[in-house]
Amino acid sequence: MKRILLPLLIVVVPVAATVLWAWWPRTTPPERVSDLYRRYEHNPHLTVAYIEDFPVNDTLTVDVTTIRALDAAGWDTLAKDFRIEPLPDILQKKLNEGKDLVTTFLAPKVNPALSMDTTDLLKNNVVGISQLIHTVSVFSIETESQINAVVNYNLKL
Amino acid sequence: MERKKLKGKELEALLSVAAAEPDGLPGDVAAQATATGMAGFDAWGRRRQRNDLRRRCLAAAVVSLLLCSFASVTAPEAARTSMVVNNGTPRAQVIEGVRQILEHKL
Repeated sequence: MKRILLPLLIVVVPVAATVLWAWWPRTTPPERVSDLYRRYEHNPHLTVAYIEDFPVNDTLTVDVTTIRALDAAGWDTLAKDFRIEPLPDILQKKLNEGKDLVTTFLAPKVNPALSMDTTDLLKNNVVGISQLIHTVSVFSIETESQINAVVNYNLKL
Repeated sequence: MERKKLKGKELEALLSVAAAEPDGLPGDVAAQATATGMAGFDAWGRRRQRNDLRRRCLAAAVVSLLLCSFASVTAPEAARTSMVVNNGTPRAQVIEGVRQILEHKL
């Protein structure tokens, strides 16, 4: 019995522990979420998520708050809060054909509807808006290299 | 007399007979027991079992290591990323949305 049980335990226990550790979804505690997340978390027209340490390249990570409009009311809220202008007809037509239009810009951390804070780059976050999936992602910036990593994501430099 | 190495069940049978009838072992068994000594058989059997167990444990540890590596490598990114979502939207869909913005930006 011991001859079977001991090797079996040596395999089962660590593997079960590893599977639990690796596959169990990690949840950010409420005290660490961003103000943006708190602002929209109870809005039934929006899906809002706060992601900690999202990898933007091999070495850098960045915290992201991403807000997705579930309906027209949700998109109106985002359009107002992030100053999303209506698209020109030609771009709207491309969008209707299924092509995405994503804009990225720097906006002050205190209020993403305002223009970029030019006194200090690090007082801004990077905001990305996808018109196709009606999603706004706000990348919380702490270093300039994070800005470069987000802006140059996918570019082979 | 040449020492005969008894294996598993043979050894167990011998030891059980010896334990039950220490003064009157039947012919064949008695001869072997006399030749090599019960203590020798006993120690040899235990040593053999210990080595066998050690080999099995070692193999199990190697298999365990491989399975653990595989489990941690194949874990989905959505599970490994720490996040919180306000409704039941799947975590993978949230990450996909962020990736789409990063990859399709102007």
